[in-house]
Amino acid sequence: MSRAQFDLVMCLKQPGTTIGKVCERCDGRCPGCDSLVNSKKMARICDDCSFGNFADRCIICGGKGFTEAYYCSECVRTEKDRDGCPKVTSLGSSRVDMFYEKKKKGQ
Amino acid sequence: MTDLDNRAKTQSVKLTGQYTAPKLVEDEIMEEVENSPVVVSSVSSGNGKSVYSKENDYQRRKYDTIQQMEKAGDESKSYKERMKLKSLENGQEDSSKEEEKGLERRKQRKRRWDVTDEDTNQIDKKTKVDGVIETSSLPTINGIELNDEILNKLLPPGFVKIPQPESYKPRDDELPDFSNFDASGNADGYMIPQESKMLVEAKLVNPAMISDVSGIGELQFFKEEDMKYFGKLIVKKDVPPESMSVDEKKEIRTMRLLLRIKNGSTQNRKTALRSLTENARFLGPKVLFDQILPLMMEKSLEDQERHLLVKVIDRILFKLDELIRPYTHKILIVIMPLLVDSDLVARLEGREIISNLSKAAGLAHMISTLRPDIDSSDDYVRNIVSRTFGVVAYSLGVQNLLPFLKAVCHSKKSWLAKHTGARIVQQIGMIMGSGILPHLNGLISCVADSINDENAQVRIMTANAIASLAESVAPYGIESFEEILQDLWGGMKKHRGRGLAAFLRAIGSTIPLMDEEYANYYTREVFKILSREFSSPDEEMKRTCLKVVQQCCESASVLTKKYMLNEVLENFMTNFWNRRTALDKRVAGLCVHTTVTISKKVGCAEIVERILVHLKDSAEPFRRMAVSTCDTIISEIGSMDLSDRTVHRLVDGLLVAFQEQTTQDPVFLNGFGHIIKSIGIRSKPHLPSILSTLLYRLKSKSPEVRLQAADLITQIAPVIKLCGEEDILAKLGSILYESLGEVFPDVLGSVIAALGSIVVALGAASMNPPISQILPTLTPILKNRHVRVQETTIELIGKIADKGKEFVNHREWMRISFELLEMLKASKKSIRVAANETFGHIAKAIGPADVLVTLLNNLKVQERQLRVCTAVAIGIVAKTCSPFTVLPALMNEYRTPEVNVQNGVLKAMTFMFEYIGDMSADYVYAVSPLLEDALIERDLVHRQTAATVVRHMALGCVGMGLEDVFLHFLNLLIPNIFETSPHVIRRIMDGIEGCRNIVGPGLVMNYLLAGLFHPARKVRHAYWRIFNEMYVQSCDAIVPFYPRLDGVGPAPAMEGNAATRTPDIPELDLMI
Repeated sequence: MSRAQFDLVMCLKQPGTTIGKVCERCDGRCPGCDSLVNSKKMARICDDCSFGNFADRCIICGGKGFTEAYYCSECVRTEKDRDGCPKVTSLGSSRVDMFYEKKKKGQ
Repeated sequence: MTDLDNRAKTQSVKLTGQYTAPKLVEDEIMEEVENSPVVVSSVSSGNGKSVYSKENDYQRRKYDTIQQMEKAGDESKSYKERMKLKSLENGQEDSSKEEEKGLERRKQRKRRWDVTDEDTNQIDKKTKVDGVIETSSLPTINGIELNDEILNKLLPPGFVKIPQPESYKPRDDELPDFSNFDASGNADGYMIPQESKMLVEAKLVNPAMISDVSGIGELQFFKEEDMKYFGKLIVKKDVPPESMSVDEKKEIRTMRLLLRIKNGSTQNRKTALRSLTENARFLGPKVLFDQILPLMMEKSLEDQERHLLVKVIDRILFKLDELIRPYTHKILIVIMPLLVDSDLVARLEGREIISNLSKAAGLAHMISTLRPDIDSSDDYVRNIVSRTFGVVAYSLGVQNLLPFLKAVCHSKKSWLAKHTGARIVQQIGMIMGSGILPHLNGLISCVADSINDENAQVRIMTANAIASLAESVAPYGIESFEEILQDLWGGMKKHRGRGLAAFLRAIGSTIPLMDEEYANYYTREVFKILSREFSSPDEEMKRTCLKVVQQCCESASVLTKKYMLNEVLENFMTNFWNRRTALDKRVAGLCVHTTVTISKKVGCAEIVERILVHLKDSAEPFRRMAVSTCDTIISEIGSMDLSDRTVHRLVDGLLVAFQEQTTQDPVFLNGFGHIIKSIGIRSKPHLPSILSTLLYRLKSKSPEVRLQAADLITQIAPVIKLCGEEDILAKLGSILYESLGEVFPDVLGSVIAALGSIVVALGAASMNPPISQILPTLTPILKNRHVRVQETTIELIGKIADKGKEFVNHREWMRISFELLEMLKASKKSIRVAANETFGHIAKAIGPADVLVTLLNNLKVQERQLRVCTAVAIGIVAKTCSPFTVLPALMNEYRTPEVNVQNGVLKAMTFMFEYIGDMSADYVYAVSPLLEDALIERDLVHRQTAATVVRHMALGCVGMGLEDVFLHFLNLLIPNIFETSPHVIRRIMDGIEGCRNIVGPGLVMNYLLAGLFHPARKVRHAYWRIFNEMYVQSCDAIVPFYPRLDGVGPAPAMEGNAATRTPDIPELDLMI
């Protein structure tokens, strides 16, 4: 889970064979802890998150998928990679707040 | 009241914290406005920012729904009452129809969920008939006829009898409802209401004068409409709290908090929100929702205010839990319209709330709340209800909703219910995606019978539902669709127009699910109809055709290249590739997508050659469509099979399209860039013409044109290098260097980006002018405030530091690193990241010592963000130049007796140890005294950050034989487990987790046993938290370390008395 945003909800269902993607902005980010260094192991996501609208989407921010997501070595060491599908399913209040704040200013 | 005040009121301007023009100017404007012939509309909801003003007519119907509900008093009624009312309405309709048709009453049938009790209907009808007979002249209450004489006695003086207007024709089938009338409790009769004192006072207060409300502090604004809801705060501000009742106090408190959340500043809002959430159960749902819900429906509400209120509801839902049940309907009424909002974020918000609400209220309650609206005659109501049911199914499981859904879809009574049922299925498909696969059979059996329904709308909606299901489960689940394929096929043959479109889409969506043989058969048959409908002028049919062609092309092998070329392509191109298609954005987008899909069948050249001509079309939207298609096709398939002649024509067409554009659309820019990149070396003969166009455009008067030209250079610089045209690149470089004096910041940013891409392509050594001349020019540009300029400049400097550090002297680098420190303050994250990376490059170029001094000095500043970024930069420098060059200076800096500096040092160490991973083993003993000090520091943040350092170190050197030192850290960490601040406790837990990975769970278990069964819950809680985390990671490893609890059970009996001895209870049983 993201270090800075507590309210993000992860899917956590049983992962399947599909490897999760991350967008260009989130490239290199660990889906478990947001770390940007020491990538270690590919992150697999569940079937629900790998078909339909979600296919090829960034598992962290929902943007356009660009490359495979990797867990960092620390998450692998502490077995956070085995918690379940790491796809973030909620928007997160800070992002929504920001959206409306921008919208208000933009008007 | 003055004229001005009136105006202020009617125009609903913001009333606090606003800086207005001088009085003189204002008066002048006012005069002008008064004299102008145009009447400015001053409707209170005419505020351009409000949600209301942006909604279309369909979305505005929510206000009608609510009004109707309020009028009917629906909100306070129970499910039974609402259903009874509903069935009464329907029952009357039905019975009148039956009478008209002269049908005989059918036999008593098995009771269904939606068939009303026959008896109640009969009774109701009977009472009505009786009523008509008895009260043919006047209404009667308790046996007394309400004639003039009686009424005169009952009513106070002042009432006058008004004669009936001529146009009034009483309906004899409806009578006033006196069933709830309580004669005894209403002895005084109806009184003409006096205007309440409070309201009068509220009217006297001028909202323009309100700058801050007592006990709330500074507000961002206070609108006139707020007075309606928060007027009490203003009016009652002088009333001492002792004289208020408890409920009143609660109400005032809630009001105050809500106003702070809605109108307050960010900080104010946060504390208020937290306070409201924490006290939600104390304040109670009634007080809360009575104030929030009317506010939500206010027409002048702005997007952000609505969002904040939605957020409040979301938070208090969690706290109130089952207490919200009585308010489910009310909440739904205000939240459901969010599901049809034009804004995706608002729709997601609505979805989240409904999901939480249904989890709190339970399925049965949700069904009974929403049930009466399922066969509402209003399409809007049914639409939002079906969407809501979709969300409910998503959050509570389709399986649980299926029986109800089946009943709705098979409703015998009204087609409306069936229509809604199909729509719910459609929504479930859309929301859940492939998650519906396990329930596919059930969902299809719900809608299967409606395919041949007598009502056309039901049939169409059913086809749509099936299409949605098939799309979401593709490519699986054909078994479930097999039984309905025949019906779908029959439907497709029977329908025309809208119906045909729906059925075509349904069949088209099932084709990707089929195995090859079936898919080929169906595709061939569908294409017969499709090619007929290609020429249909109907937009809906056009979209359907495009979508189905796309789906068939993706799955069926029967659509060979030959077939497509001979049978489909010409027809397709003539009907869809015209200017008319380009005008409708949705159709145009679909058309592009479909053309790309076809090109995968027939090859890139066939399609590109056909749409080349459109690149030079006179209509811009059509040109854009052609460029976008060429771009996508070539990016996806490549340009290998394009002949040289085609490439020539393509580049020519692209140049025309690029030059002719009027709106500087990124589609043209990216299309051109991608295609040139794909053509690669084959573009060499065309480079002169491209470059002459670009150079011409670089000198254009219009900044947008210059910007685009620079952007295109950024994209094609690598291709120019590929073509071996270094001279051209160098020339371009010098031209761009000369353009660095650009005044428009956006253009300047692009120019610098283009320069950067040339530096990368050409190499720093062969740049002209030399790097030593470029970099000093860039240094002052770093001071530019524009985001894009900053970002591109920093990136360029980073590139130069990486590739051509030797061309610049030491002093210049130092100057730049000073400037870069300022960049760490930037609000945009990418700038800070770029600046940090550049620090790494510079440190590598000139050695860490000088850069480090600059950075360490920066730790003393006040701003937190600046310090954090500096710490990250130190971490990066440490990584690039090895930790041993940096660590001594860092540790020395820690001796500064200043909290910020020490924290900064710890933070830098956090990043450093995270970055270097297993290299940390060499430094553990060296930094342990420092960490020891930090872990026993009084300051919370010291301990928190030190715990993170310990964690990173620990996870970096598992299995390297450093147990001793980490056991020491564990000893220092354990006393912190009772911290309450969420951030601190999280980091402490992480620290302990790190240590546990090194020293092993057995040792940690020894620490925990002391507190796992402690009599105080707070103590136990902290210990169990650590235990649980340990259990998740290494439950098998802790088994040998469970304690032996020998003393449990009756004391062992004396020797020789073996018969009475109870067996020892194995300790594991106790633990489990």
